[in-house]
Amino acid sequence: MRYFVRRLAHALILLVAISVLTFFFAELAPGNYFDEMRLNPQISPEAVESMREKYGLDRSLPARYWEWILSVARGEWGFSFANNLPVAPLLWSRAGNTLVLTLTATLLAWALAIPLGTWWAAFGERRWWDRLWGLGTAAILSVPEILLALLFLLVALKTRAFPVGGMFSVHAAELSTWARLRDLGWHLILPGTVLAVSSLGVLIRHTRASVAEALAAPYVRAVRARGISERRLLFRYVLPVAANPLITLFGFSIGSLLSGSLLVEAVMGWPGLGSLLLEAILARDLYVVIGAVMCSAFFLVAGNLVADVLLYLSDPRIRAE
Amino acid sequence: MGKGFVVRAVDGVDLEIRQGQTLALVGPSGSGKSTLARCVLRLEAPTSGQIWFDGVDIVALGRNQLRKLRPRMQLVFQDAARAMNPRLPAADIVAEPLRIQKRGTLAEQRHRAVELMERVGLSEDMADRSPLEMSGGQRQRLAIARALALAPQLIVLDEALSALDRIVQAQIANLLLELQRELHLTYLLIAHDLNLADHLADEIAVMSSGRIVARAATPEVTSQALLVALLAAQGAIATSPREPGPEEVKTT
Amino acid sequence: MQALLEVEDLCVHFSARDGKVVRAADGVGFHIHEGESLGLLGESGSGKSVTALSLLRLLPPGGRIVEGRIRFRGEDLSLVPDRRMQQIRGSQIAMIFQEPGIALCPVVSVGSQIADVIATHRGWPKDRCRKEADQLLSAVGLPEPTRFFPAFPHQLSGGQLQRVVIALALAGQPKLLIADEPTTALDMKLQHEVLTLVQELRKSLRMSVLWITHDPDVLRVLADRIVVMYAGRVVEVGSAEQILHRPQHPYTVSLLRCAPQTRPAGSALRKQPLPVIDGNVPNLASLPMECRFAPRCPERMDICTEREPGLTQTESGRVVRCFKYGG
Repeated sequence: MRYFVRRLAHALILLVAISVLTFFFAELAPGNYFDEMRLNPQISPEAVESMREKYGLDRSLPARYWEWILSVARGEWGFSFANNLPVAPLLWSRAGNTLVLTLTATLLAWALAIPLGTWWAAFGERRWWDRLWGLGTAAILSVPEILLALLFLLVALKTRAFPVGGMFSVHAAELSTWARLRDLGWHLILPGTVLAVSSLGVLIRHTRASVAEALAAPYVRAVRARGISERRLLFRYVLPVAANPLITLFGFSIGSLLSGSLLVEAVMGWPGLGSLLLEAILARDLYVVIGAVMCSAFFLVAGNLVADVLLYLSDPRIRAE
Repeated sequence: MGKGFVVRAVDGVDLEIRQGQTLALVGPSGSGKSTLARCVLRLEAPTSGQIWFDGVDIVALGRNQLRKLRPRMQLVFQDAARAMNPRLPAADIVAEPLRIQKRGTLAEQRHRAVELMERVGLSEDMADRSPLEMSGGQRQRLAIARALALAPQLIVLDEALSALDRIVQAQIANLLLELQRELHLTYLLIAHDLNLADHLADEIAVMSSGRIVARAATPEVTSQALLVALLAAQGAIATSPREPGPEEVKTT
Repeated sequence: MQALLEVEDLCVHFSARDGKVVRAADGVGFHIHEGESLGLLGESGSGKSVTALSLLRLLPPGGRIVEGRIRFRGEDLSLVPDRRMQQIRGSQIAMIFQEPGIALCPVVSVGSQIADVIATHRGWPKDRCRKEADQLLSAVGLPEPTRFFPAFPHQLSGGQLQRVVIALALAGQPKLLIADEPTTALDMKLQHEVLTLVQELRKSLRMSVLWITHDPDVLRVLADRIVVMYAGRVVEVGSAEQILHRPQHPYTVSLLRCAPQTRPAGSALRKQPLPVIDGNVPNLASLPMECRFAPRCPERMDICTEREPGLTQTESGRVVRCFKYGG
């Protein structure tokens, strides 16, 4: 129990630190929302100033930070200038979309990586096998995400088999729940696959390394000497040990996908946090930016906490601490 | 350890070793032998007490003085390979202490390293080999060569011979005795093999649960059976018969 | 009476990275009768562990049985299919290894690992396997089933782990137990406990044991017969009494003489050099045409550097590979 309380406390401190840093960095970035307006000759400087005052942009940094904290406590998370709304509802809907996309992608990636990585490791003594897999994963690894995304979009355009962006079809609201889910599914396929493939290379390698290391452990020979079948050896004695570093990686991979899906979302038109963040940065919509970054950070930290829980449950040695 | 518990790893130990002599510390695992050795080397600070090395209480020394002290006491482990950088060739490993203490030029260091290696029985063509390519016995010799690099006065041998095959163990025991005579070294030998301890040591101390439960200057022991009985009564160790047909002393 | 295990002409080679062939075991032969305790005595590089691993076909990658026959109760283990080998491992022949801690999977409870072996070889239902596992734990001196069955290896002491390893080996009720230096990593008290335990169990189960060790003293009380190996070859075979008290091969003689002993009071031999031969085991990848012990042999003759001696019988049930005795 103490284990978790400690982890939770760390996580909270981390999030607070991130919020401070984000605020600070956002401040350092040149420009604010009202700069565009200033360029507009039709709006008087006084009008701009009064708007700035109204939105509190003329106050000092610590004061603004405090205001923001209060706003978070109220559930508003600041104010979006571009949308004339509190930030919170924007965040939640977009965050939800990102979650759907990245969780699907994560599950897909891992569902492929674990069997493939294990298969690779199980026969890894043969050099040609090793080489083949090494090259294959290196090839996948080195393809830039954006290239993959564009490629898939091209495929979608040419074949017309997949929707070219967006999360639902235009008429989705009129469909039944089941049909809506199917619609969602079709829209998920391309961006989900892009995200999954982009992390697949690394995941397969890590899985293989972990399994190979577990297979090389001295106890494996002793277990074989007892007459335990290879299959049982793999599933009962090797994979659980190999799982340890992989579980930690799992947490990271959720976290990093969640916070790193920006590019794919933007290119493939997925209405998630990534595209929100991009829009907000371009518009200098300060509090949306901060909100989105905090959301991202939250996902990263949450992913790690999930990894901690899973690790605790799976490895008796951790429980002994 | 958990809250509120204090583990007395070493509890009220009194020991002394004269220069040029060997003290063997025997006892079961967990008796505190290694902890004691680490204190002697000041790798750990004792909770209380004094350790006099060549007339100076080293417990009270500050960091700088300790650093000057270190070359005078060295340590050889049971599995020396674990204390060696596997990417370095043998000569570099032996020269490492010289490099750290900045003694001599690179060429001089290399020369001394090869010299030391030959002294411990490793031929010059092994100078560029990795420790991984060597046998267990050769690695231990390498560790001894490295320990000699800074011309120490005291060498702590923490089960340094325990993992070796019999013939190799005897060879290295002979080497250690030779070196002791030639360089007037003092040894603190931690061992669990009573026969080895008896052969190499001037005095034996038996540790159990952090305390010294028996001590005997080996030449003064009136009979082997008495010593063994003393030790066995403490439940500290078990012996196995070495000579054909002796009485076998069993412990629980 | 036919022997339980007959090894004939066993050759095990390893392919090294640079293409060289390491002849880890050459022409090894010995036999073990039912209920007998055989010691395989030799130092690192003698080929003793490799020989043992070959019996169970558990050689590390790069190693293979090049030649020879391993006849166990009528079957040649070097030829049987993998499935059959898997059946034999643990149930007919069991093996315990050097460090107990590393023979156990760290994430499965100790009791489950034992129950697993029972289930594999006897196909009983889960709770019967568990009961049997509890009984085995008792038999090796860990009698509290609620305490020890669910325990994980990291929760047990070295001595307890070694007992678990023995229980694991016995779970399949093997006819032959191979013990590869099981006591080397333990302190003397534990060594003694383990050896006593195996001796007792062996007698009650009428099991043969193959002890692999570099320490002749261990074999003094345990072994009926001893096979001495050096650099991949069998150099001497005889009863324990013969080998340990009247060794013939110069290597065996050196091995037995070189150990330190507890001296009587006032002995002048204390802190004197031990009588030991120089040098190291030869490089098994490049062996010249001579007796493998010749470079270090204190009794070397001219013929010893010209070719290798064969095994000569010197007494009933005793052979030596040395030109001193023929060859």
